[in-house]
Amino acid sequence: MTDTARLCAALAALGIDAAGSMDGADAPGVTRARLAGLLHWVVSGELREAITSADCSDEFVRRWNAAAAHPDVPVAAEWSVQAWFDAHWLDGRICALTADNAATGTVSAVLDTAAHLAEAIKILLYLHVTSPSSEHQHAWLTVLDDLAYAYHRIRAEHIERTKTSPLVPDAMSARWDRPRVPVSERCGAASADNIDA
Amino acid sequence: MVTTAQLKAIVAVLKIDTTRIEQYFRYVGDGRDSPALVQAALAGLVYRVIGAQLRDCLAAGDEEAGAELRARAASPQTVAAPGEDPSAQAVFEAFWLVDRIASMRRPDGHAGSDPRSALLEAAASTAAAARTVLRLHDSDPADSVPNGRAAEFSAAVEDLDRARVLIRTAQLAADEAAARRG
Repeated sequence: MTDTARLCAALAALGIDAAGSMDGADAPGVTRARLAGLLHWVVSGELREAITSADCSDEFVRRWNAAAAHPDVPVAAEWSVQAWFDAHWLDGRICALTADNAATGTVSAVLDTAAHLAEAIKILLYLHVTSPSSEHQHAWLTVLDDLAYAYHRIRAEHIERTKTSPLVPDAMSARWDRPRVPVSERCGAASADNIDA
Repeated sequence: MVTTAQLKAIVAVLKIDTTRIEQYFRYVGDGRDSPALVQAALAGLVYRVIGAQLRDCLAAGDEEAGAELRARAASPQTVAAPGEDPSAQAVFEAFWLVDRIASMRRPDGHAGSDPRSALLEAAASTAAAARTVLRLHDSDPADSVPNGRAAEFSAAVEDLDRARVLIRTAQLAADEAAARRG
């Protein structure tokens, strides 16, 4: 694993003085995490700029492909864990945005939706990594709640913005409105209620 | 903006293996390695390696309390990067996550009925919806657009609906597997 000195050197290469991020009171592991977090954060912004500064969409796609290139990389078990980590990162990012907006005014419907979706992605990838079982009832229900919440919120927001009729047929919406079965009744057998006709 | 030389310095300091980039440019062919593309490729590689190292940092150590502290020290909620546009950055990171999840799909194709691949597909759809929603957040207020960005809203709603069906499938498959085990 990369040590603190090397992380400092990498930050220095970007012109960032890491001294401000070092707190003598921190355990070494915490300092290292802080430095790695800062480096990840800065490089993430630089990567975005390297890609989005393209002046046409063809060039944008070429740059994206170069940055995300993974030719012949086998699907490693570790990738799932990394995706889970990336989902956590995105969730933290959205939490920070939400906190900023809440401090200065109200949190918009779309941002609130994004926050619930980020939580759902985290849980879905967690279930994917750990091999789902019926022991994870709480996780399943949280995901479905998050998605139902997001669905209603985004749909209401669109209606609000356009003042028009719903953008999806009522039949689709009705599936979401069905009350979910309480945990206590759901455990055990797969009931017909879990299946979409 | 960071220079290619700066990225190469990081690559050297962190001892990152750049074989993959060379492979990539061999793969796409000659004349495709313009300075901007090399820079994007280097930034992408460094970002990925740092992401993996950050994850290692957070996972290292045994005590739970320490893990919590480390995670908090590294999270976007704590770290501040100067001059950043957090909203645009969130969109970008959602794009990246969608790509990451897509690359986890088995090369042999479609989603199986086993719970894990259905969950992965559900995560992919949910991430796609999150990406769309974050774009809506980052864009100008929709009032200026006549149709209220109908295409984006429909796409997000459809992605969510797909995710929900996939989760039900995964749930059912997990329950069936549990029943078979007795």
